Amino acid sequence: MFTMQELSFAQKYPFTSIAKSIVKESAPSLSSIPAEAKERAKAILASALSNTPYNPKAEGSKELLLNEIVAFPVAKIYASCLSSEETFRKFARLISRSSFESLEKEKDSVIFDVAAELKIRFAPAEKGFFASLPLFDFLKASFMQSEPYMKLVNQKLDSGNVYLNRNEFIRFLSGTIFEGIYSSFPIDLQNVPKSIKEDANKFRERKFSDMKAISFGKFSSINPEFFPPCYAELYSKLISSSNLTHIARFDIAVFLAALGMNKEKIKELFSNAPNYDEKKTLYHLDRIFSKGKFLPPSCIKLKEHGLCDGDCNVKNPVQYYGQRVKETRKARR
Amino acid sequence: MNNEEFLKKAFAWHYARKKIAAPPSPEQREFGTGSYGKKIDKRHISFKDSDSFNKFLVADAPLFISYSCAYYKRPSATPMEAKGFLGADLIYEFDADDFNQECVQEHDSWECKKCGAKGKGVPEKCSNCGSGVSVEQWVCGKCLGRAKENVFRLLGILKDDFGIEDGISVNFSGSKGYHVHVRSENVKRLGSKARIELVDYLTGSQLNPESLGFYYDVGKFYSPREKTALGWQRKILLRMKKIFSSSGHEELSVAAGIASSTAKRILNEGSIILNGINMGFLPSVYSKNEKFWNSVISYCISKEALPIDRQTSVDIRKIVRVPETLHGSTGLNASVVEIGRLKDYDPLIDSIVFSEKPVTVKTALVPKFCLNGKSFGPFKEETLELPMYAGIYLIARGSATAFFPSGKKPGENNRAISAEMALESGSTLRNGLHT
Repeated sequence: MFTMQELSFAQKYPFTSIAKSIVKESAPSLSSIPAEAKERAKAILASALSNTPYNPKAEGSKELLLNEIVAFPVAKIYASCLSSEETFRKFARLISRSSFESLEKEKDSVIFDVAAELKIRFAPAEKGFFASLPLFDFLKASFMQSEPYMKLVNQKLDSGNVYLNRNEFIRFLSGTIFEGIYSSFPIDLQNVPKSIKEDANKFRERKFSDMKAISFGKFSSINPEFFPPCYAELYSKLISSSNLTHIARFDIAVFLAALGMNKEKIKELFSNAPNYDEKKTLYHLDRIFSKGKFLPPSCIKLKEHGLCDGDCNVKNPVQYYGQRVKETRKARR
Repeated sequence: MNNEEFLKKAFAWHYARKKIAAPPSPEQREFGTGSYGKKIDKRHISFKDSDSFNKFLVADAPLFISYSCAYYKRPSATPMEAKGFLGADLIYEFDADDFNQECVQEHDSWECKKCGAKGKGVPEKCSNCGSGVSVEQWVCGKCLGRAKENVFRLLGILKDDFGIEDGISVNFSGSKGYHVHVRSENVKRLGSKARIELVDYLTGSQLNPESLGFYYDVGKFYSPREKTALGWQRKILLRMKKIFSSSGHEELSVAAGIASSTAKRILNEGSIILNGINMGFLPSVYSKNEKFWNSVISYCISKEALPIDRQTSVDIRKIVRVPETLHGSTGLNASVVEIGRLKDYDPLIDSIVFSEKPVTVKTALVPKFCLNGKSFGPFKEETLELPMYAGIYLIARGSATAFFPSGKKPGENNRAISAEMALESGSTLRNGLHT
């Protein structure tokens, strides 16, 4: 049996080992997940997708707290069913933000407990600071560099350690939480019951309804839902502002051009890239659009480029896309 | 025999007599070679071990050979994505060109291609017509000394701030500066963003003084206390203390952007300022207090920032000179220097590998330059005899050609092409390899 204090802690920090133990005891299998927990999981995911804070009112009720705790891994399953980098990122961001807000209100000892749970190597209260971290551990946290005040150049360094105040340390923890959750996606869905997958499909519909089909060219409209897994992932990364390698950018641009997307539309897509350079993008697009110069890379080529490790039973991703379009038209008729 | 053939013959002779230690894990490195006037013209070369690397040097005698700071599963594969990145060393490069020392007025020259004007130094534009200029750059002991000072500053930061003492190797670039290689498991795993963070730290890029405790609030300028200051806080405070205790009013005038007479007056209150710095605030000593201290802080940052070549440190696909190989623009050796010996190391003596034996060359306009403790030039367009190392230096730079008298066949009564003979009978140099 877990105490109310433990349940409350696990609800605020659902990635901790105590939260995992509670889930294991309360819902030992996927088929034993209570309906209420599934509903809470959908609510968590809905908050994540709409970028709104998730503030359940569960304090004081053991049952409600248990539902919230079990809802976390279920929400991760739902998110994985959506199979989109954007969803993974939004979900991780929701949990990291709520953890940051909770940690700000905690006693120092709780902050250190969470840090230990996250396997962060730190030394508390040194040299008048809240805590210190080894430099290379700090550098591993790539999320830190996006915030000017957390850049290394603005830190207090001494002999290979970075000294942080309380707020900076909590910010570091929340960033680590983000990376931990984000990198755990997608989870293995092999043993997930059909009912959960069906629930997840509703979210998928919602997500792709935002992604309106683009009317142009060879296929009369371009629907990202029909992309093969390799390009679905690259496309998802592109619209969620993830960085793609040069070869990945080039390949997807050639692919989209082959489907009939025009240069302007592709350029617009690439403008999401974190290091977008209009001049370079146009240079490459001009080359791609120069008559007959580039054919869409075959599946073998994509494997060579490290962009595909699957087997879709086609020779070229355009063929895959064409087949899905045909199937859909047939089904509609 | 043209200049390139001459140099290749000399380089092959050197490599046949000196085994070069290949970089660690040679089988995981990408190598690239260069030819006369082109540092890299072939990439994606790999060697299975140090022996095959040395055999290649002897057989091919490349004028430049570089290697990747990165480790790859398949170093010769193309495109880059197919190589299978495994990690990378950290490399910092200091180039004498970047320091703009006063000595450039003595040895560097420019020429305007449009109006033909010429002059000394390295101007951004032609002083006559404002067009772009072509520049001929040389190095001297002063420039290289400045590069070495910066190597020492870097080593200090690596140790004091980053806690890195092991796995550091320093080598002369073979031309204008030094390379510092940092090799460790921690470093190997760093991603591009982390490398940018380290370079930003070293160069003070995106430094926000307010984040470090330097800020103006309700008429008072606060600073961290020296006693507890760390990292850049400490660097800025120490530089400030130097300005207010020993630098003189000229520097304060530049740092704060104030008149020299005002700077003199402020320095009379130096002890009050130093006391304030110790206590954690910057005293009001000028009517525009906030502007004054912001200028001083910016100046301190600019002085403490290391002039590192950003591209070399951040680009994990970059290839750099293999230490202990010859530089095709100078014929000097990119010697590895033990840190304990760095202070006494003189690249214009200790990196010379060729002999004193004379060689005949035809020079272009050449300013005075020093090698092996001797002064040469200035030369106008003339034919003369020089020691082999100096002749190779000028030929490699493109400032001279190996001389072939008219009517003579190559190899006939011509010292310039008898490189092997000259090399073999060369005199003993301070740290030279050939006797």
